[in-house]
Amino acid sequence: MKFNRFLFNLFHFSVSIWLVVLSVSSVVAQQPIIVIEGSQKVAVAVEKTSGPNADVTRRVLENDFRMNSRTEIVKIEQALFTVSVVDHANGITGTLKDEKGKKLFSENFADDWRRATHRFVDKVILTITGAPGIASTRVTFVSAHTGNKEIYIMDIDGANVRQLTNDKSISLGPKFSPSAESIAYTSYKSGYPDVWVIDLINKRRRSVSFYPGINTAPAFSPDGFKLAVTLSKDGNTELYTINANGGSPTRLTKTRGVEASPTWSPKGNEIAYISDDRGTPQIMIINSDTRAVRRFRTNSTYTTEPQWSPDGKKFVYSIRTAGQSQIGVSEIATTQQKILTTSGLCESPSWCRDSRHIIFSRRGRLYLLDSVSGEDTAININLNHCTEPYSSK
Amino acid sequence: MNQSKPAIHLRFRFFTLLAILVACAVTITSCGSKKYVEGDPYGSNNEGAIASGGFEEIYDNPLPSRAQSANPATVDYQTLSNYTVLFDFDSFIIKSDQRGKLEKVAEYLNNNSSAKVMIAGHTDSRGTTQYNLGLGERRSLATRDYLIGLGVDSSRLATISYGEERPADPAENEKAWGSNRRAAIGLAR
Repeated sequence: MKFNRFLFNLFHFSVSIWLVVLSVSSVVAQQPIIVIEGSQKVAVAVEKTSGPNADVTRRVLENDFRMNSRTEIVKIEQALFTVSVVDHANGITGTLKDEKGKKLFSENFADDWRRATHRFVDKVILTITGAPGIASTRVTFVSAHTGNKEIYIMDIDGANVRQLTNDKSISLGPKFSPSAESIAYTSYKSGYPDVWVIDLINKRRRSVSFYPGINTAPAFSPDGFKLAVTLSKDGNTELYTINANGGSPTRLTKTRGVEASPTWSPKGNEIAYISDDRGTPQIMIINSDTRAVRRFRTNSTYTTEPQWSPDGKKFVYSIRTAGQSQIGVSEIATTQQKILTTSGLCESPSWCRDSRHIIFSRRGRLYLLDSVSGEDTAININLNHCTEPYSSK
Repeated sequence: MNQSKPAIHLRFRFFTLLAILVACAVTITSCGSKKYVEGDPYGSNNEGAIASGGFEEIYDNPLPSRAQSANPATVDYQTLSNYTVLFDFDSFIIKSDQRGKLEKVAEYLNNNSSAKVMIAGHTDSRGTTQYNLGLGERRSLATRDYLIGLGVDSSRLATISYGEERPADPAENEKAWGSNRRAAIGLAR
């Protein structure tokens, strides 16, 4: 396809962006209007909100556009795009206009007003930038706020926090299924660490792996049918796959060390995990068909909790450098590495669906991190001791 | 008491079976090792693979079923608490100064033939949750393998890992971390 490029400069804001205009017909629906480079932001203004929740809707909208990092909230006169939202009995109607007031779309989102607003923002982001928005992301995580580690769920902006388990046991490592309709996690409810799956739609759960020893670290395959897990039933901690609704496991590794924290490639043909078979935890990648294993190198001999990005191109992980646990990202093709945090005590990173934002935990709080700018923002909730966040894709 | 006779009968049958099994052992072993090399997760260069030969015998000792093991909720970790095995950071090697404890445990188990053990592996708070769960389990398995090496029947030895979830000392300093990196020997009751 052919593009014409014009450089725009906005006064007061030294934001320069490449505006790309399709020269012929807009065949592809999600063709971006603007291509954003680096940490550039598109200027957006909220023109109007109306309806019973007008004031809150404005705050939610503005927060969503800021959280996105690809957009910023400005005054109407400075905006390249304006949005308006009417909330009503059947959800919300959201409208996006360009700087000339031309309507780009106006759509009804049937959902509770808050969720509908998030979905509208995601559609705006997709329409303008071609990248998936993260406003409608849900996060599952562990909190020991009650004194016991239980599983929780919330919206990525910290709203709608719900406690899912109340077992007064130990619950760990929740991971959404690709559809975000289920959560797999480890629970000591039986006394032993077992893998459980919560069905969020029917509000039920079942134990799917309860072999002798440990049953931990479940991760759904991209098609949702399988779980990669760590089991010790055969006398060592190894990686296995099982059907997501239970059944006999297939063993993938055989070493003397610890294999843990599996994460699937988006195509589902490879699983990255950590192994300390060579002394300290390192990222390994196994082909789930051929079982061929290769090591993925980082600049630290202590690298754990890899997560494969939804676009397949990057790993995020927690990495020990200078005695501190930080969040790092590596390009898989080049192994080029970037450490994103400086404070230490950073753990459990999880990609958002845009393969740009990462949520992680530090000192019992959850943060949203922009891997492009390196800026992180605390997600404010009224719970202490929060760990192991995982975002829906 | 009524159950002791059938148990003896079973044992005789078991030894007959064992004799047959030993006769077949050579064939099975050779098949097993071939299969094993094919399934080597590190590929044809064998890098990081398990050493062949004798090591494999102590490597794969499937855990006893849960029905055979202690209920984790009621395990007594007091009686043998003097024999809790301590570990170095990020290590599951049984250090030479810890081995005497396990000899005492083996002795206790020889003298109490009905006792069943739950070995609970723990880590310090450094490192990540999932890795520490694995590391804790690896510590309990290393302890288990050592006891098997001392002649304890593997069916009496179950394992559990609590990772970093149940520290002996909740403080965050070297002394506390040292006491948290442990495999506690519990008795079923």
